[in-house]
Amino acid sequence: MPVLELVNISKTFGTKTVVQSTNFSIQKGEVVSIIGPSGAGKSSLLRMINLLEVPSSGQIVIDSQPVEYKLNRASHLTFLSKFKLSKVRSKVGMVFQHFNLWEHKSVLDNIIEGPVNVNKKSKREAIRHAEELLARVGLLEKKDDYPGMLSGGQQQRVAITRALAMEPSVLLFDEPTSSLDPELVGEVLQMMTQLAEEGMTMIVVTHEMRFARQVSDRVLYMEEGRIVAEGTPEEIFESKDNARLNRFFSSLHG
Amino acid sequence: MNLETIAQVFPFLLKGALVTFEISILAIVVGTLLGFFLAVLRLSHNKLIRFLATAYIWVFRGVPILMVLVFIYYTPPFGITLSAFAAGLLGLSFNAAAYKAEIIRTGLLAIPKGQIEAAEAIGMTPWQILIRIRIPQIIRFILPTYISNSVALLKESAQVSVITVPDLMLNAQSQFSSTYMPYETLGVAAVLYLAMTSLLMTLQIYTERKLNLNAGRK
Repeated sequence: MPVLELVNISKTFGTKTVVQSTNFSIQKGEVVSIIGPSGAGKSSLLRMINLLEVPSSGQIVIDSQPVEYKLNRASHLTFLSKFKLSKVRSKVGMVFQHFNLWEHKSVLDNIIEGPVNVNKKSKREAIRHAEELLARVGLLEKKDDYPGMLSGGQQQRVAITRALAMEPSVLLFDEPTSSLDPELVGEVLQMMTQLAEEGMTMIVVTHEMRFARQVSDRVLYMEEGRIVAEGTPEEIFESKDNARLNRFFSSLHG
Repeated sequence: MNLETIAQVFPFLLKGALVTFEISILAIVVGTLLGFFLAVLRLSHNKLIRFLATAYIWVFRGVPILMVLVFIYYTPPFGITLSAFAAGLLGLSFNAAAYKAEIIRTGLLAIPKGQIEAAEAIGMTPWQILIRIRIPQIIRFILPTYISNSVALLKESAQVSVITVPDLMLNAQSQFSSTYMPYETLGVAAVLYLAMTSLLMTLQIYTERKLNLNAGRK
């Protein structure tokens, strides 16, 4: 049974179609990478999963529950929908390209914010769990620092920890290493690889082809708002007969 | 400097200062609440709502407080009669709201979108996001401007003396007219104004420390 399913999802901005009636599902423990040229609709597809972007049509199903929401005339979520989505969103973790840690909160406060205020855990229990997670990635001594004092790689690892502290059913990564200096990419990818090995269900939009190839169970290739190719990493990276894939891979190597 | 006169007029001045403090702080509070509301309306998707909020700000920023005060006190609609204090408070609040709205709007716009998305993604409700993410960040951004504006408001509250609110300015002036000693009356009043504005500035320093305003800025 899939943890998450997108049925016939589309997204249009005015006359521009960003994602075109796409179907997608992911099983528990599966790691799926989404690759493709920029502007292919990868991030939009990912962001629609937790309604950070609102689909123009289609259905989202999380843990077998269809996600219900209403739109106002300006095609924004209604105020009531935002309240109701809270529960669904708490089950879907999200890691952003620009980390998006709350700058006015310490590392520890960033991590316990969700568990305490959304999952209604006791503060003590949330702190204990957060410290345990931080210790595992070697960031425990940074717990009282503010995000602005950390390197990009450290911030992203804290952001991943913040998402993990919610104990989500699935973790979404939106180009998690794209805004990092090259020497900081490794530490983030290593953390993600370890999560994948521990059985976390992950959907990763990425330009890191090595990660997509070595860590994913399945790779999706998107172009112009559609999933054009889909398969195991071997099928995607070693197929020589798909002209579009070939063009994309050769563009990467310059 | 006549110490005896100072001792004589000081109770009146202090009483006036309390009125000034009370009316200013209340106007800041009401103005901030109303201003927050206006700021949100100015960012609405609805054109009419946006227009009305903009029109309000345009009028109340553009008309002298003194006129607003006189209109509210002497010509309230529907046969309402307002006490001088109530009229003064309303006038100052309406005026303050226009300024606070613009300051708060700047703060609302300065919050990086990603900070809000992160809160949404973690499942926080709009209410939680407002209280726990938006407002603390708005305060960080606008605090210096906000306090400067509040200091200005406290000083401008002297204009309520024109509609007979017994504030520091009115009491100081009446003591001056009966003694003709400017330093012992108006001078002391100036010191009291300075003390009250200093209090607001101290509040700024305290809040900046408390909020770690510069946390992590390299």
